[in-house]
Amino acid sequence: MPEPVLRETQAWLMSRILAPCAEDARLASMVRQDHGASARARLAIYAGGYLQRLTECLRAEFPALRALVGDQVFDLFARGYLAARPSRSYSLYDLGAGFAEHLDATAPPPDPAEPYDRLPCELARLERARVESHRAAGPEDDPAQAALDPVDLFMTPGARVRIPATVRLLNLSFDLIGSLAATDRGERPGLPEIGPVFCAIARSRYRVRAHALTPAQFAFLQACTGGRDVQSALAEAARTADLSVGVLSVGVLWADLLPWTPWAIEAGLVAPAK
Amino acid sequence: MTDTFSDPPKPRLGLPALGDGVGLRDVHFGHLMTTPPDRWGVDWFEVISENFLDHQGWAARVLEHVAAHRPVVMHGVSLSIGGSDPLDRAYLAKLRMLAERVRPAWISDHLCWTGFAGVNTHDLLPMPLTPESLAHVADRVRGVQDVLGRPLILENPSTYLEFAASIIPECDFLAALADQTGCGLLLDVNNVFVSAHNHGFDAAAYIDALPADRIVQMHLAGPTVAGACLIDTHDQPVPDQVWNLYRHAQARAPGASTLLEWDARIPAYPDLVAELAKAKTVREGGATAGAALLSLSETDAVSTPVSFHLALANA
Repeated sequence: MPEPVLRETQAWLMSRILAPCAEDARLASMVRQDHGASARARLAIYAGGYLQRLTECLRAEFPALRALVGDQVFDLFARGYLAARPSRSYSLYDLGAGFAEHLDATAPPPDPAEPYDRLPCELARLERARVESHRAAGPEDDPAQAALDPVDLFMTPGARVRIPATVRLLNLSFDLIGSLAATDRGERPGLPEIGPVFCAIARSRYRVRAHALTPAQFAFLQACTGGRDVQSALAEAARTADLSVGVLSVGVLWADLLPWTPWAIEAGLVAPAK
Repeated sequence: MTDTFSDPPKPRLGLPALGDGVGLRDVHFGHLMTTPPDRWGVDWFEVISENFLDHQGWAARVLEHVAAHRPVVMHGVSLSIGGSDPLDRAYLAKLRMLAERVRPAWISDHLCWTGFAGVNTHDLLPMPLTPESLAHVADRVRGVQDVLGRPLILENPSTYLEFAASIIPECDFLAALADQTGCGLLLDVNNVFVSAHNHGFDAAAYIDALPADRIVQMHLAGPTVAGACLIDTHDQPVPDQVWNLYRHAQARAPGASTLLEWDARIPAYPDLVAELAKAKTVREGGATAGAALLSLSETDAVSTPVSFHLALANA
């Protein structure tokens, strides 16, 4: 067990970093004040550095959200998040994992008159998906990926496919793909159009991109999650595809997906199942 | 780039003298992947261990390429060797797995703690330097060395406050730790300069108190003036004061591997290598055109910068 002074000292400094206060009766007894800067100024380096460091981290992970809402609002989001969910991981890459969920939990109650209330949460979800795709095991080193023949996939009974770990499928309420693209060009994104967008984040040759999908393509990829034979994935996709486009038969779906599949393989959306 | 010494550098803890290196940072990935290794201009690279744990993307591919052509050292920021929470066994297991993949010359971290009760500040926080802390850290160093199967190399941190409870000078604490555990030392010359300024001790005497035969590596960096304190920002060239201390440190531990840290406002790779080349000039007794210290208002700096963590490296 750590000795009491160590534990007590660390508990005190941690509390002052996470929740700085103007006056601390224990400061004089905890920190030496016999040289140079005051104890309060020394403590402020750690407390200020903590917030600045982790806020910068979130700014870097969610650049489109930051550009859309501006620094002041973004930093309010970030500091609220850090207060509610301080980091508990050894890795700074885990820091943003709960940001979208936090924004969702703290957003105003749903109001049809205020559709953009959900925008920060959705954009954060999309940006987090992009970060996860960068770090996941991708299709680049899989020799079976290069040999995947799109025609064989649909013509060979029992052919199995999966979506790589670098793929994230998102059913968005706004057209946010343009928001990401604008941010990547160094521009401030405008308010996106409202409306359902089926989106996939995928990685190919270590490049991560956001793709807009048709409802049929989206449903097919969802059906392939975890590995699936193509024919049963088609049948499930026909059942689950967005009904706003009408009821899909397997045949119609097949005809829609066959010309798309070579591109989907190239984009890293589909991989051979192990 | 390794110097020709009249007497070859002595291996410390049986570890090699690697020469002069730089930190592997994602802003330089493109340059390194498109430049033949014989034109990289450095002897070795140091990687931030946490950047590569759980990473199976482009950064992992770059590390594989770099490690195939140069020695690599794994430098961690999350071990929290001085923490009062239990050691993170899952983190240690991943560190060991990364080491099996990268085969680093050694693995280092800092004499510090990073959080409490499970919450991580991602900062390198100062220790109360007491006999009890020393016993606590020594126990944990032995535990880490058992898991990693190699001596741990520990770095002196930059600190901005000293606890009233501290009764052991940091240099003596590190010397005792090395003696009791067999660990090595990463002498961060800039951190000595920063802490000496902040706490009013003699930087050269600090270096003289360390056991020279345990100094495996040295760090160089540029700090920032923040009011009455200096802070460790790694965001500018190495100032004259740090070069002078480096000359003193190299006289004490000749040939210890040298690493230039630059983690914020990172320059183009050729400029980084040009700054590193000054180390050889200093070791050979030459003068450097060292930089003047900049202040916070000029740099918008933060202590323990994390810029090296942030870019998505969407190359």
